[in-house]
Amino acid sequence: MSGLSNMAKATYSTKRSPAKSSGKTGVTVTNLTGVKFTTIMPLTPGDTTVNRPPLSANKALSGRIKQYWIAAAESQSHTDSSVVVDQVPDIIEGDKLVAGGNNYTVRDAQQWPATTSMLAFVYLLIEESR
Amino acid sequence: MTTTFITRETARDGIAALFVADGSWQKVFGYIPTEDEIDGQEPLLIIMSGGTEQGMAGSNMNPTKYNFILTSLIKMDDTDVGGSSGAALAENKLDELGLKFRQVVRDNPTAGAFADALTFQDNASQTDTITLYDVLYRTEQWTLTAHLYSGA
Repeated sequence: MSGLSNMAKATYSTKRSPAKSSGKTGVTVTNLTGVKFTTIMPLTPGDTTVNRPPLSANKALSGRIKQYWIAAAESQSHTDSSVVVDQVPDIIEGDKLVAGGNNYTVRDAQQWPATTSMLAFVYLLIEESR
Repeated sequence: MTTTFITRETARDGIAALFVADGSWQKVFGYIPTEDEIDGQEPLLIIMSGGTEQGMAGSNMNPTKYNFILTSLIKMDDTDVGGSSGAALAENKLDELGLKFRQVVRDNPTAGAFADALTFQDNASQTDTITLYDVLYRTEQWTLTAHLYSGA
């Protein structure tokens, strides 16, 4: 794990939809801050000509390029809903990862190894959100 | 009422304003929004332009009907984690918003200030289940017509 830990040098935050109020859900709000992440990487090696992952596909609606990326969040001290915690980061499908001014929607989140110890990472499949 | 030279966009914006004022939907869009514009909000109402029916033109008369497709979207929560509560709640919300929708149209028969009349098309609404930006929604779709008795 130390190798992956050495890669977890980026610090990103996440957003999540708030609880429903009167049957309605408002815009996403900041959930986690100060989470240590690996660099956001393409899901598979990209096409060097156009510098994008080969799994990209045109979005039928907008015509924009749809890009999938992966990143791993490390279990380090971070802030969860304004409270400092030492635990596996609480990131689930549908959350937003905010990195470098861009929003990425979390399409899948899997913890590995399956442990609650500080050795665990949360692996994310994310997609650029615009 | 003089309603000449009202564009379909103006009528669409006017219809959107009626539903914004009602407040039953978290967000009303006059177009198909991007994922970032939705930003987790629900329920949504999306209003899109439909076709235009142009009546026979004559002296001082140019009756026009602007049609609009309105789609209500309710997110189905937690249907993938072994529970049915998300689906049940979405179905209840679908019915509740269906009533709200009819009330808004009923309460605005003259369509505010942007048209002479606002009516349903004489057909049933359509319900469906769709995925938009990887989110599952229950939907209901209606067609509304804004009438311009002497529009152009």
